[in-house]
Amino acid sequence: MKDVPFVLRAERQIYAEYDRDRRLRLSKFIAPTFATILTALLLASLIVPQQFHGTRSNSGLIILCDALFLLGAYAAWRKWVNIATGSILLAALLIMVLSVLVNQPFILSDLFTVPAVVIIGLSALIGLPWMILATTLLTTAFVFILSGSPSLSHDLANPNNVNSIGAFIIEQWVLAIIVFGAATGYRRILRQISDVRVQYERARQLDDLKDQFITSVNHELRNPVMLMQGYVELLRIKGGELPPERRDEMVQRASKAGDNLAQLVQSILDTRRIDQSAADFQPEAVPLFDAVATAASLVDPGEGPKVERDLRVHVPEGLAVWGERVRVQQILTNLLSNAIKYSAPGTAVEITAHVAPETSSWTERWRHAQRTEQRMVEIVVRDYGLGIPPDQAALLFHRFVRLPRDLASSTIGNGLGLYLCRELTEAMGGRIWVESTGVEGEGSAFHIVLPAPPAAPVLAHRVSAPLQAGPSDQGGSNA
Amino acid sequence: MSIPAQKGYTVLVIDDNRELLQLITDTLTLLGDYTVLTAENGADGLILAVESRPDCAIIDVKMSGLDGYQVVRALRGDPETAAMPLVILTALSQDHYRFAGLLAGADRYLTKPIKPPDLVAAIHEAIRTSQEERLTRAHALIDEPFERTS
Repeated sequence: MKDVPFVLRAERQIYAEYDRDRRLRLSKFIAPTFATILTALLLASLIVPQQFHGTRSNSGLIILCDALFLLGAYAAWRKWVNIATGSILLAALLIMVLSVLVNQPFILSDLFTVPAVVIIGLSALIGLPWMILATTLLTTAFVFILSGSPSLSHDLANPNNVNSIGAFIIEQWVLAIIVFGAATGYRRILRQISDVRVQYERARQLDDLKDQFITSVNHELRNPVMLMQGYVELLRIKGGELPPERRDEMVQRASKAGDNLAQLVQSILDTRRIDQSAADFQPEAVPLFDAVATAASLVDPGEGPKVERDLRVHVPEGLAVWGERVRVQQILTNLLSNAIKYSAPGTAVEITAHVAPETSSWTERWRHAQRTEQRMVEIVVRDYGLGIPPDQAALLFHRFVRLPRDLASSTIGNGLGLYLCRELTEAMGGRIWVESTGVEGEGSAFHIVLPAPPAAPVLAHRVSAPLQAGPSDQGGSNA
Repeated sequence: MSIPAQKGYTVLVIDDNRELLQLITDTLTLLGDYTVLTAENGADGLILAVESRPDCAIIDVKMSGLDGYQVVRALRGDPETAAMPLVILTALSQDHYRFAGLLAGADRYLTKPIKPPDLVAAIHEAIRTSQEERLTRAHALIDEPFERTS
């Protein structure tokens, strides 16, 4: 079976869920079963002590085992899978110790072969592969410790019995290796089955997105088509009776509708172009302040009433990113356009940028060190508009996705703007995400992290500029 | 909102797209000799409908605030406007939207794009439809088995 080429974090979770669910189900069965058996054994030793002399003398250890199984059952019920399996395996190891202690004085026999085999098998069933090796190591250590016991001194005098200790250990390790191989193979098969599930989920999501796209584009296309068709038809029927200036006005309206239609089609085609040539670009140092200024000038004020807005730009002088100028501008234009489109007239829009701080966790630092020593620049575009419900935020960067709220509203968009932003950012080696509480008025903050060119100087520089803007229908983006 | 001079039938158009409002106004005045009232959202449209009692209302569905279905239901629910001919004109073409629109009480459900002569003919037909016919249509719609196609 062909592997899925890349796996998203959410999809990776599916793999983990499969195995976790299996281990939990087994733990839910094993732990209460053994706990019941041990409780019954303890009760029996109280009722008929003569028959259960060994049990009575080791009741402390049995109670401990029982408690561990009960803990395992509780952890399984609470879905704490590692605590559940750990408790069960520890209890099983104690039972192995117990089985030796109860049968004092013991002789070398199959006495601990069976418990050891059971424990190794159990670790394969409910544990992770490394737990099989860890358990085998513990059982081997136990055998070694046991071989020093005084009650074995007589048995160990017999050379055949000495050989049987070695045989026990070899048996355990052969078993462990076989079980380890089987468990690893099983997990590989599980992963392949999960791949099918991932591909199915992707196909289903794609299907949903296609439906949503068709509905959205269907709606967006019909208005300009009606305008174009309507004016052409009116001119055909009544054109001869109308004064020339009225005819010109109608032609202009039809022409504008045609332009809007062409723009919509172009933005749809752009996504194909991006898909095909995402990685094909020539990086250069792009001064951020200039890019922001150009992006702001490219935001279409639209047809709506002109509204004065405060565009607060806080970009350190000389700060630049390593990417393609046009792409950086397109990202900023799309985000600015969204900020204007989805916030109340007159509210401010802020753009800040700074060299991204070093990652705090050592694991992330290590991962970054593995990839590159490239410094990064973080750009934040913040508005004080409607905000984005946090549970819907991640979906926004997919193609043709629009918030249910925006689909129901009259705000124009085709669900491509943020997808383009993500594709362009990732193509330049960066990433993009959004932070929002989803509360109206608190707005949203779109973060973009892009590589910095080597040795970018950073000096404070603050500019506040008014931005003449109305509701924009440009860019086809949505937030 | 705008109220041009009266002539012939008065038609109220409620649509949040200004360019479409202009086109429909041009269409109705040039081809139908209607007087056209316009509103850019459902709430304004509802107020204008109650105040002006037009001979017909053309209503878009997807609008911010009150949507088209809500406007139709409100007009049908008010005894003063319950008999007003109502035409839904929308880009939503799927059958379930159509069904919802007709069930809300619209006389006609038109989908964009529609050619100007067809729009005028549909409005003319809606205006001619009597209250009895309207009720008969609504009952027939409820009795007919409905198959959702999308």
